[in-house]
Amino acid sequence: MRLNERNLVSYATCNSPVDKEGYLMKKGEINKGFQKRWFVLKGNLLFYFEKKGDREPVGLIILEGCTVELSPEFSDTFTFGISFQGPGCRTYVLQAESQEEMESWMKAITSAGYEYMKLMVAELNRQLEELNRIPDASSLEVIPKRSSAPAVAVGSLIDFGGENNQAAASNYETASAKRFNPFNQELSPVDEFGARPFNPASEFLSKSKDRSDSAPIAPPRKPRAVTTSEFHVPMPLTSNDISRPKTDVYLKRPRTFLEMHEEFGRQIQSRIHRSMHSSASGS
Amino acid sequence: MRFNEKELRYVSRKISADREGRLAHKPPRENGYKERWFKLMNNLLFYYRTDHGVMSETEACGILVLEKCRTQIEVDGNSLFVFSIVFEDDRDKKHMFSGQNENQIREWMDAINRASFDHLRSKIQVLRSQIAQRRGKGPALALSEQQVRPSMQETKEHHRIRQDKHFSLFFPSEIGRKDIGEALLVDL
Repeated sequence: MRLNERNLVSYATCNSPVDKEGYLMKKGEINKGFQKRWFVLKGNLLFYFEKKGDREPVGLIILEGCTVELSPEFSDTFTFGISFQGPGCRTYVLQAESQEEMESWMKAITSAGYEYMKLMVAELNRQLEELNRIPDASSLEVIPKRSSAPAVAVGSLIDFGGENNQAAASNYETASAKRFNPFNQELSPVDEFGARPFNPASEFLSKSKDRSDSAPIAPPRKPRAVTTSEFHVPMPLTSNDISRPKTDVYLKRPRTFLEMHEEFGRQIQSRIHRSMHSSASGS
Repeated sequence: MRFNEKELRYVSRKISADREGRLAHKPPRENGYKERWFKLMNNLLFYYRTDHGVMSETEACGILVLEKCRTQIEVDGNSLFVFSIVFEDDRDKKHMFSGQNENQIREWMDAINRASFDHLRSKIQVLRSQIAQRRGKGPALALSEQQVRPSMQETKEHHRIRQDKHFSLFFPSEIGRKDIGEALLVDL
């Protein structure tokens, strides 16, 4: 498969923003030992060099359609994997030197997804609209589909049987003595202002209660309205939330009656619409 | 440079694209156009072989990672509707694309211009500045409050964005111009 490799080699070392960099041990594919590599994360592109300062990366992992999870075989070290689904597809096994480092990388790679950034843009747009006091009557409030914990889908464009990940996860989580799973805590670290940064990635980390909704279909590209039996009215962030952002951005907050009324009205209408269609097609 | 080729080929079977369609493609240093089916997803432009206008394989035969690139209309004797993608590090080498009508190629160019991660990042900065301004704070405060993507070079990034916006004045994209307008309004 062709790739614009030369452009990417330049991109790896150009002055575009680096999201995270550092040394990690990487398990070879053929040579089963671990080798030390200098990793540079830029957006959804994870480059690795033989050592810091090298002009040309040894390799690149494009972070789409992959999952970040703890490595079952190396549970007494700070080892995690970036796994890709599919026949013959590999899991990149990476090892850090401490819990903090491992956690930091896992979170960085998880939020490297394009989806995360798009969520951020959507959220900021919403805040801006609120500030402008333009009622957003055209779109339903939506929440992204939750994937199963603790494996986190990066890119979230493919969801291959979250159940498998869940089973494997519970096995090695209890076995692990030295490390703990960063995805079990949903809170992101507090910054120097005492605030938790907005973290829509927490939407992907779920202790999903609703296991009935576990069909392994591809999560929709555009978020869709929740179709559970109860009305769920997700709330956008208010101006208060900027200085003290909550990690779970969809916590309920007081809304004007008009907004709630409109929201319920739309949901009711769409349900009527759907039930009319299903009865029209016969039962 | 190695990359996760096998994994991406598998991914390419099942992507739901932001935009897809048929275009003729002439890579740099090659002479002729070949018809391909393109799927744009995030900042990745996958392309597939075609047969009589439709995809003939489930896996992509190539991928263009759209970072540090720009598009422009081209004049090519043989086809009417042509644009190119040029990467910053090698501006002589053009990827040429030929389409069916002007609308189609304009839309492709817009989509490609907006696809890069860097573009998303600068969009976020613009939005934050606007939000901060609406609240009566300076944009500098907006930058310090936000630690979502703790970039190691965040202040440098701010300056770089302004330079990039300057650069993008030459983009034919409507979106690019609008972004600049707004950025200029809020920049102090």
